[in-house]
Amino acid sequence: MPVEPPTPKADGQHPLRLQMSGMSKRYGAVQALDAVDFELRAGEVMALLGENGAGKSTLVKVLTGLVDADDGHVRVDGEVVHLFPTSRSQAAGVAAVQQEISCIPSMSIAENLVLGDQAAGAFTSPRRLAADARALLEPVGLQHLDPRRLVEEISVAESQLVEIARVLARKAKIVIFDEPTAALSDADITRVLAMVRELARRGCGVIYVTHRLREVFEIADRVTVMRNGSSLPPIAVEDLDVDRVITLLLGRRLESMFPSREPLSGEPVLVVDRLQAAGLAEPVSFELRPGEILGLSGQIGSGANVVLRALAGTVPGVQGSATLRGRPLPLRGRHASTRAGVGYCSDDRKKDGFFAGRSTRENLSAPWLSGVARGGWVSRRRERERANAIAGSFAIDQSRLRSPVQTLSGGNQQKVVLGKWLGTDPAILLVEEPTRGVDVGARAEINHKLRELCAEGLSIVLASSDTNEVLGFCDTIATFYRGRMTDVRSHEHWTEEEMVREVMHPVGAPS
Amino acid sequence: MTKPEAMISFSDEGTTEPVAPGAEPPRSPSPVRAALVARAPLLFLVALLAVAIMVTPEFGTAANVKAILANAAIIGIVAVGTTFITLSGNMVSLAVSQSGMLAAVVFLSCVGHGWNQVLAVVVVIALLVAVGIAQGGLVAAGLNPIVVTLAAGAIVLGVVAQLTGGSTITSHGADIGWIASTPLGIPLSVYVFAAVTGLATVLTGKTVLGRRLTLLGANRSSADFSGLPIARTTIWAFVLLSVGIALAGILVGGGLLSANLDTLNTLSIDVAAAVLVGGTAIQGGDGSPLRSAVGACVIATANNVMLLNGFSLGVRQVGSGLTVLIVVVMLALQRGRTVR
Amino acid sequence: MKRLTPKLGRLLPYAGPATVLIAVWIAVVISTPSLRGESGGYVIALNFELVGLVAVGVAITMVAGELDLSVGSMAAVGGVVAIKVSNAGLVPAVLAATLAGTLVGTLQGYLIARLKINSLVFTIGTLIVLRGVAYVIARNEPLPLSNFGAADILLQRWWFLTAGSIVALAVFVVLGVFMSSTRFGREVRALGGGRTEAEAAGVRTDRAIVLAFAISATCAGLAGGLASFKDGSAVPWAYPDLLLSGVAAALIGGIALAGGRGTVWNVAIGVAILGLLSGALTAHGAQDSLSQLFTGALLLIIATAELGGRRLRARRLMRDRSFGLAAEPDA
Repeated sequence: MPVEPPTPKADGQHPLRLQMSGMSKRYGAVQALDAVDFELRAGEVMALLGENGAGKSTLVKVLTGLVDADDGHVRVDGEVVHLFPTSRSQAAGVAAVQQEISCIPSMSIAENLVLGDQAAGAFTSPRRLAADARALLEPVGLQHLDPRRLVEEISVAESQLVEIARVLARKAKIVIFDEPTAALSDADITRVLAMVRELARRGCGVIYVTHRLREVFEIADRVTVMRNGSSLPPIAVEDLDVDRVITLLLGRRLESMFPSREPLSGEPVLVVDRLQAAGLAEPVSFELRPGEILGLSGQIGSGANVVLRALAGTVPGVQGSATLRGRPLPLRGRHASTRAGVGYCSDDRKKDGFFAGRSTRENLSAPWLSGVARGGWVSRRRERERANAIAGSFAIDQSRLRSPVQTLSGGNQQKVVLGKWLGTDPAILLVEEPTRGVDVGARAEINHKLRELCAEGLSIVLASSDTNEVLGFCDTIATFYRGRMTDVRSHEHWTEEEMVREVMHPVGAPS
Repeated sequence: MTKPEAMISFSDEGTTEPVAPGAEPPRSPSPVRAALVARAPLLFLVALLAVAIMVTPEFGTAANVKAILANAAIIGIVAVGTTFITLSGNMVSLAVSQSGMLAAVVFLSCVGHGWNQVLAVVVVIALLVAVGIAQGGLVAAGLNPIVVTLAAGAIVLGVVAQLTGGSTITSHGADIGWIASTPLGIPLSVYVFAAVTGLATVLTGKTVLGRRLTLLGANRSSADFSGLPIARTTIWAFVLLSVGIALAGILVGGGLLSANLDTLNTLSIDVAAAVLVGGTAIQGGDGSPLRSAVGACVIATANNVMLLNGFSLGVRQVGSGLTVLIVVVMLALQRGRTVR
Repeated sequence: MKRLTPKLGRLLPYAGPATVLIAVWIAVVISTPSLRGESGGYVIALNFELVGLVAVGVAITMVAGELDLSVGSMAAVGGVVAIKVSNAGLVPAVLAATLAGTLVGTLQGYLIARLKINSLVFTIGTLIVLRGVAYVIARNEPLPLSNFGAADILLQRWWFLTAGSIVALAVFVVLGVFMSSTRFGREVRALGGGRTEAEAAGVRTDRAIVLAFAISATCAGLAGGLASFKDGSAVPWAYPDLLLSGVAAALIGGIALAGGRGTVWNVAIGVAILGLLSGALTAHGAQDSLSQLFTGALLLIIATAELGGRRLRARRLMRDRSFGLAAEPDA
């Protein structure tokens, strides 16, 4: 039986809405949350910042009831509550607006607004629902929409606002926004930020999880920084500037991560000519030399990812063309693309990068299995040899090759997803978000190995929203903003400030 | 002083597992133990059967064991074939009964008209493979396998009905007694069952196609992005199943010397039950033809034990159904959550 | 692009199936004189009695993103239960069959939800068990109806309607209202439309699953009970193809196997199409199996068309929804 926690002291003006003390959560050997303290006052916007793996998302999951903490107490408005499972969390007044829209696309706006509301009446005609909906849509500025329209027919931004409207309707006490503006345009971002402040004004406690410092300085009152599973005490935004935030987040120097580079030369190995697909506002053309690392830097929706996917052959309806080593590159389907020498890693390895349930070795050998087979018969010995070689060069523990791949850490999983292409002797590697969900140590190992491969002639095109990493790692960097390539320069001609400006608000773009 | 618009972008935590630097999750249990745990439902069932057998004295005779194997053989052959469909993530085929019917009817028809028997076998296999390719092609194009096989089964039934005019086809005295023969006292069908199981297991475990089928079922998108030929692999799964159905149909036709619209009409369900009892995951990516063969034997044994103990048809059916439910539930509990 | 008026936009999903229905009706009317006018309606009504009831139940499990394969066996159980209780009269007997369905369905739904098991797999098991139960209740032989008089009302015909079809239509109306206007019905649809999103929003998905399967088995039991009285007997091996007909009717009418979409109107259209088809084939002296052939072919055609439509829609959506690009014009 846990001991009763001491009663918290409340700030004079804003009462404490939420107080978490000593929250801990362990996943196997990984301590995701390590005695985390977190507080939130009613009527304030608390920004929650942290690197990959810092514990942000675990904390949010504990709050929303998706995950049960091993240890710690939670008080809402002074009363001790247990936030697991989701029903208890909702009963306590917690609501979350995630980056992935949690509207049901096949149901109408009005139905989505009352989705999951256990207090709603048992019987309501669709007409009545639509009438009720108009009142709920007004605060988010969507009253012009027909509430009986299906959510799949409206834009992404509008469906996110519908979600916010649902949260407002549910009269939540604590609202968590988890990267809500990632997919939105500037105008929509302004609307969402205004809604966030409105929620706070109405007395909600708002937790705003983001990576965009501009928004933090725009709407947050205080900032809580998480690092390595621990939380730092909250700091008022007035007492912070960008440099101080970075220092708090990283706690280390950045430059040591990226190895030195060699100069490039030679005929282009990849020539892209007026490539265009859904998500790009205008055609894109560029060239890639052997051993070159080209970074496409941009946020979600900038089109950087689309270029990669189009080249990989995973996007239908691609216009334009590309040549690889002088020959036309097939842009329809991964099978032809792989055989032409193109390796591809998406940004979501769990969804389409590896095969959960199969061994690491089988994961590594998937693209090149026919290469170690004769007459359809797999040579286990050759497969093992090649897999061991890949594992060795990427510093994956060879004794784990027989284990199911999902038991590996995020960093090792990423190594598997990248490394498997080595066995196909690729000409180019197309990678999205190469170090997402990867710890610092593995990140350095991956970067180092990729650099080594480039010195041997491999070319890489990577798309990343991590400007710092792109700057440190790539030879040439192209910035993308809202479907257009805005600039491309060699790495020594970029500063991080310029890059960030290009991906967030380029010179000459409409305000 | 204006703050520089530096924006620190920390990539979203794409995976659910948080990562502290340098930490490594614990090793998984040894492969032997993992294999045992995965087979626990089946082992439990086998143990249950062992107890039942001990209580039923008539069970242990050679004749009885042969009868069980013969009963298991037909279903087992098709269950082994179905495993390719299941492994590749296409669940089960609901066209199996009707396709088996087609095979039996066409075979008997051909030999009844005096065709060379080898030719008849080839024709039957070719015909069923063609039907299988059609289904596989539609599934590869993106249609739901349940819908495709449901529709295909109905179409095949209609075609068979038109061909037979609703009447029974017989062999018209053609000399196909060899099909029902019992070399060394064991029915030919059992030899075919064993051979098919062996071949299929080897194919799944040791060939490129087998590995691709399993990977396809484990994660279709990953298979696609890794450059695996999805369409080709899917169609192969249906081709392999079709060969199994063809063999089963020929054996049944040869055994009964007649076939009509009732022949093999419960095969789809019986085969699905065998695959499920064997423990192959319905969502794909995990399992083997050997397991399905064992599943068919387990069901046949259970049925036999119940029969020897005088259980009526209805009770035996309930018993078979409960067998499936027990295994399925135990596997679900063990895996945590099955994908819907 | 000009947007349709809201009301017309809501009717658009029915355009495809309705067109098929009209086309089939025209073909039938031309080729089969005996089915012109009211008689056409009659064969449709007949199809609602058995196939329609089962189809609407299965369709609800499909909308929930699941599939109940045991409906054929459940109908057989309903039939034998009704005959066993037949001496109490028509209504109590049919009620008993219906209740048996509700109990079985609730139990199935509960197990599927609690054990988090794939419903396809689970209902393969229960379809075998229930078939066995039907045999056990009937002691492996046909059960004749001794209380013949009680069934008379079921054999009556008013214009094109029968008592059984009226019951079926009433069930359709009730379930239609349930799915569109009650919180529980919306939860069932949410379950199929996006299970993770529904759970995140607080929907009690377990309750929705139980409801879906309870409804499906209830409908099957009711259908079996009514049919056994009308036929004058119940055989435990009845309805081996009922599942196919029910699922085909739902799919042909426009219910998506993936879940979340479709209404009882879709099922009704599908049942009508298949009723006309089988009625016409019977009138021409063809066997049952020929109607299966047509059903299968129609199913494939419609599934292919639906796939093509889905691909086109997805491609258009991808263009229009490129994250914030379409929402506002460039300055």
